[in-house]
Amino acid sequence: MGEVIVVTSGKGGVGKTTTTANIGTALALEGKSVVLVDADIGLRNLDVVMGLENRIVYDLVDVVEGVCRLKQALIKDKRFEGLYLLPAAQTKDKNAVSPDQMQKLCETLKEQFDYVIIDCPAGIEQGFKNAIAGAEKAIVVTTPEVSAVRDADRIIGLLSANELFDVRLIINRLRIDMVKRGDMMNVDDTIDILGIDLLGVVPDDENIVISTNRGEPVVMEQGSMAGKAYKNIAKRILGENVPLMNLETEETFMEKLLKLFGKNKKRTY
Amino acid sequence: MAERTVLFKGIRGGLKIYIDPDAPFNQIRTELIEKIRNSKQFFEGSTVNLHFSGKKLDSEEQKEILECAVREIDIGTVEFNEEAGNSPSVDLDGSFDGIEEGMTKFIRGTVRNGQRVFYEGNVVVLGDVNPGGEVIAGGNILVLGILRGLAHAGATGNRQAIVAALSLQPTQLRIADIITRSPEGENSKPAYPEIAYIKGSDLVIEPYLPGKGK
Amino acid sequence: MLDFFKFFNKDQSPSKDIAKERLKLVLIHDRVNVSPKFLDMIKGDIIKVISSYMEIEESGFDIRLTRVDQENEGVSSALVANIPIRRMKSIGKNMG
Repeated sequence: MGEVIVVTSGKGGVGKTTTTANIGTALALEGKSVVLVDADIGLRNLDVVMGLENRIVYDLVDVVEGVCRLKQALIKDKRFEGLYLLPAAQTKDKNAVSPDQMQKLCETLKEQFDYVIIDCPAGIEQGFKNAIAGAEKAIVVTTPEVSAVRDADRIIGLLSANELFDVRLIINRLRIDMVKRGDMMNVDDTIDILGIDLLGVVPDDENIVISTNRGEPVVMEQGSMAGKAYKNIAKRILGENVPLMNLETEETFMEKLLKLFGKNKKRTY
Repeated sequence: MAERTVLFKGIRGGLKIYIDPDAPFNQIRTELIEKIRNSKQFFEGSTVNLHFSGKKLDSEEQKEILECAVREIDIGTVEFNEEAGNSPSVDLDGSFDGIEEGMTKFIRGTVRNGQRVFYEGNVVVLGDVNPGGEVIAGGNILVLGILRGLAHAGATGNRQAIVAALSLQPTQLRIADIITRSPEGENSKPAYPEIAYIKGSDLVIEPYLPGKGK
Repeated sequence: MLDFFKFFNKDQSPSKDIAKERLKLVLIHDRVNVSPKFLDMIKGDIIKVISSYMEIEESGFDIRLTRVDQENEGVSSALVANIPIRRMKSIGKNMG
């Protein structure tokens, strides 16, 4: 029996989809069978971030309406053993699915996969209610900014009102330079307010934009700090005790090499 | 956290009723009737003066409420949206009597953005109150944590009520009918626990532990 | 001047160009408001019709919506199909 985890945030744009894609990929790299579920009906994105957009034939709404079998809608990612995607519908909206239907779908998926990871849409209405319906654990993603933290707080409250108490936090897009200047809340400030267990911290990383351009999860990029952070998070999900990365002194191999040749810190291709 | 919308406070010869400004009318009416029924025995044989404050009701709604109420109790005078500050500070009926005693609700854990605690008596929060969270009480409010949200003590008009917290950083603070906000530009976190109370007609905030200078 | 680092770079083009191309494709689908299974249905019908003239390799059958940049006429969508033929059927052969 697998685990159903929903990745949510309240606020849009803080990195739920990127987090879902990368945690899923990293878990698959650790040998687990994983299905990523895009619950953002009408505004699908998980497929694009994974680079699987041109392989969509059927979607989640088709499955729920019985238009096709689940197997026909699941897209097998050829790059990673054990990784599948169930895409969202693009031409319907959030009311095309009910929380009950989502719950039944998750129950079916649980039997076939070690991990079912659901990418939750932004907001707190129908889309959110659908996404959490089948979940037993939640990951709340936030950035160290006032508006994101407030929304995360609201979400945590709603999750516990819906009996979802296994909730852990990912702080995304941390900029260590700004934190040092005192221009950005640090990890402790954020945990102070939200009061839930920390699952991981992902630094702001240009590689994410580049990888998304290419349709490759950033965990594929060996030199990426964000990629490494996501891999660590996957290990923690599996129960390993991985210490938080020291974001200050970690240099990638490429950066060391560039320094040797006297170029500046920015990567050039 | 109970979804209450109406706070009762017995006073000499009558009832002060504080209505949640954000609650839907249907819910208010249902709760009001239920509470009046429960309080019937206190008013047996006497006329009850009603003093409403909080949510502004239109004449239709006021009529509806009174029609329901008159079936249960003998109504004397009725005032809507009375200035809460006019309440006598000494209450002989004493079903809730301000700062010294009274029913208390204990909340374990943090009151989060979007959550609200609404209670007739005192409220003690064993946790924080986050921005966007609200605590509304007929009595006192104590936050054994950081108060960053909204606190409204003495909601039914008790100016004796207090708000205290280990760290007072509220978005808005209210006692009875007096409202105050954090002073502009001051982003400093208070270094020690503080208490807020009404002195004269002003809301005063100061440390309450001995030895902590102003 | 040889860009030393391009040796280590497995991709030929800057990622933003790859992104643009992918976006163009995705948006065609989105704008035409056609579900991918629409193509499935067309596929089924085409196979039926063509099968009366020739035997085709169904596993190699590929059909997709693409963008065509018309000179002076802007951009339009095109349905492009690749249909591998196994052999012609006798009906077709005897005609003409």
